[in-house]
Amino acid sequence: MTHDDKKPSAEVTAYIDQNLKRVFGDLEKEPVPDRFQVLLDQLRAQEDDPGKER
Amino acid sequence: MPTDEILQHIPALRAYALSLTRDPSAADDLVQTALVNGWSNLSSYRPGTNMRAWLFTILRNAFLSERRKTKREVAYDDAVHSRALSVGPDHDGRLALDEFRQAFVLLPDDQREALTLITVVGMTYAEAAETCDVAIGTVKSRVNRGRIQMAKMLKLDE
Repeated sequence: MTHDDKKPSAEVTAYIDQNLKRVFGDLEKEPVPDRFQVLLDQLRAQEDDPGKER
Repeated sequence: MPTDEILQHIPALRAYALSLTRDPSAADDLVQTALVNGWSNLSSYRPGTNMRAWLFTILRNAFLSERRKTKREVAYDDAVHSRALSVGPDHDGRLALDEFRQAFVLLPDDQREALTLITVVGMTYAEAAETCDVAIGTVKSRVNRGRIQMAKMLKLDE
């Protein structure tokens, strides 16, 4: 059993990584959608009042 | 519940979820599931340890569990392909980036995952290995093979 030890060139690596960051970059920069803040608030409220139904 | 700290990790969680699901709305649903699961399992998180790895592992497990339940891989049809990874407004060089995106979503799951954790999320190989529950060498191998495969698909000169 051989592991694939081939490595891409430095240029290829840089190109791929740079474009990957571009593809995902907008996602990381945009504000967190409200739904997650709302969810975390709900979960925290449940924590404070465990008797409450979801 | 350390909600502020969790909030900080959500952008990276969304990116990771997107790399797994290849669909933006499924990705955000997956993040939602992971947060709910995380809250239910808060006792499994030891304060002061790596919260990001803990959250990512929960998200990964949720993804795998959902996939087992549906007993099928998402059929990668044209509709999914066209909206895969469509995030953000159009930029200059949109065609080139679209081509890149399209190649990325065609990568094998494990290579796509490894590349995202290392390059996009910026995890160390140790952290990525912990998240994926594999050896560090395995992560390195997947990242290398992913880059090589991308180069092949994009016909980059080696």
